[in-house]
Amino acid sequence: MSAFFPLFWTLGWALVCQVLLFRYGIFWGGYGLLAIHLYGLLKMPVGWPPTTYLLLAAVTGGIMDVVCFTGGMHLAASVTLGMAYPTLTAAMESREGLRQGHVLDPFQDGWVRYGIFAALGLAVYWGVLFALQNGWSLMGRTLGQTALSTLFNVGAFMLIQGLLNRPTRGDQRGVSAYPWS
Amino acid sequence: MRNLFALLARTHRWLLFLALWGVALGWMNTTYSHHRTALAGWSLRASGSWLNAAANVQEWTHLAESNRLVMLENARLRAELESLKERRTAPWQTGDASVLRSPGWNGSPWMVLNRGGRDGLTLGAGILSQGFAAGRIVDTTAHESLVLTLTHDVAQWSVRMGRAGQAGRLVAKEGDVRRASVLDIPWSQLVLPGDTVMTTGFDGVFPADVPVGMVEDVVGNETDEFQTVVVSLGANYPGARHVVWLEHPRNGRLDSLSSAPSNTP
Repeated sequence: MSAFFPLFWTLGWALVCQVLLFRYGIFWGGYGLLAIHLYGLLKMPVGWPPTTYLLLAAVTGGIMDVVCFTGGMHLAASVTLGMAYPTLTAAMESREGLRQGHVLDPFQDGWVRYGIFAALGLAVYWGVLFALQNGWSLMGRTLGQTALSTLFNVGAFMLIQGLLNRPTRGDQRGVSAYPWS
Repeated sequence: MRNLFALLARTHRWLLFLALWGVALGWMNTTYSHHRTALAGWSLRASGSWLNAAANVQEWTHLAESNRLVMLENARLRAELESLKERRTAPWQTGDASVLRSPGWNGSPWMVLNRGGRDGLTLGAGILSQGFAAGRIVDTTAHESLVLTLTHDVAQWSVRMGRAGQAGRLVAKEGDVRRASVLDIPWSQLVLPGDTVMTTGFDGVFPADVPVGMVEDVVGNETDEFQTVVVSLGANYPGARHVVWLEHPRNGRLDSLSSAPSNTP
């Protein structure tokens, strides 16, 4: 239960922000879209039963579809991400392995590792969503939208990590957030 | 049933994934007209393709039956044609029969038909397969007949090269159901591959000018007087299913003469 609470908190505010604010974040003629709710989904801890990832992702996608009137596209994309999530986390394992309940975090796992993890998850999500939206005839546009939106969101997620997920010292003072600061 | 539950339990994650995808696609189908149209198009194409495949399979299963009917019809028409051709000259009786055993099966040179004495077949009747001379009936039961075919190595048949060429003896090549040899053709007779070999009508089994086969090759030493002509038989014995029989009253008379006790010295 202790692992669920931080996740639901993060997923909750990410969903609310996405629905109320970032759903209108459409840039470069539709090639750059924001999906902040995925920030919450990518916080799912390692070691849960795979079906739990699937169900949690499905519920998130379903909520997105209901409130954004997107008619099942987010559901399909989320379900695919939920199905691929155990594979993604397994691919990100370091030499020491990942302990049960570990949440992938740039401050613990490294910015590059987190960036790759987020990019893979986002690429799966955007790939499915744009493919369903554009169809086979616009496959080139799908690939372009997927690549640009993935990069855009990876940058956004790293920014959020630095702003909201800074590790603290024992005296509650923040430490440096970004590698360059 | 327990195994089924075990299978479902093992694959429940994939089943759930597929079910959720189904929900998502159904949802999209009800929301977006473009997706609805695309899905309807795919559905129509898939169902059309499936129906087409099913129709092909059904047609294929009926093909054997329609082929059998066509061959029967063909045999009947050939019989009718022979009857019409011979009506003016001699009263050849014709009819059709199905092949029960054919040369090529177990290496036997004999053919067995499903018509016999009670069906009007008598000894000596000639047999045509697909319009080509195939043999003659040498024995009958009430409902079966035994045919001495052109592939039997002890039989000889009177043939000629074309309609007006030299006559010779057709003898079988032992063990070969597709070829035979024509002997006693003088070198003065020009024979070329592709020429048709016809019956002479001398032996009384067949009327004259029934095709026997095509010349395949000519062998022999030109210092000899005669050439040997290799003939590709027109009757397809291994594939024969229906044949036509030709019967002339003279056949019976010839047979009775040749087997009469008075002809022994």
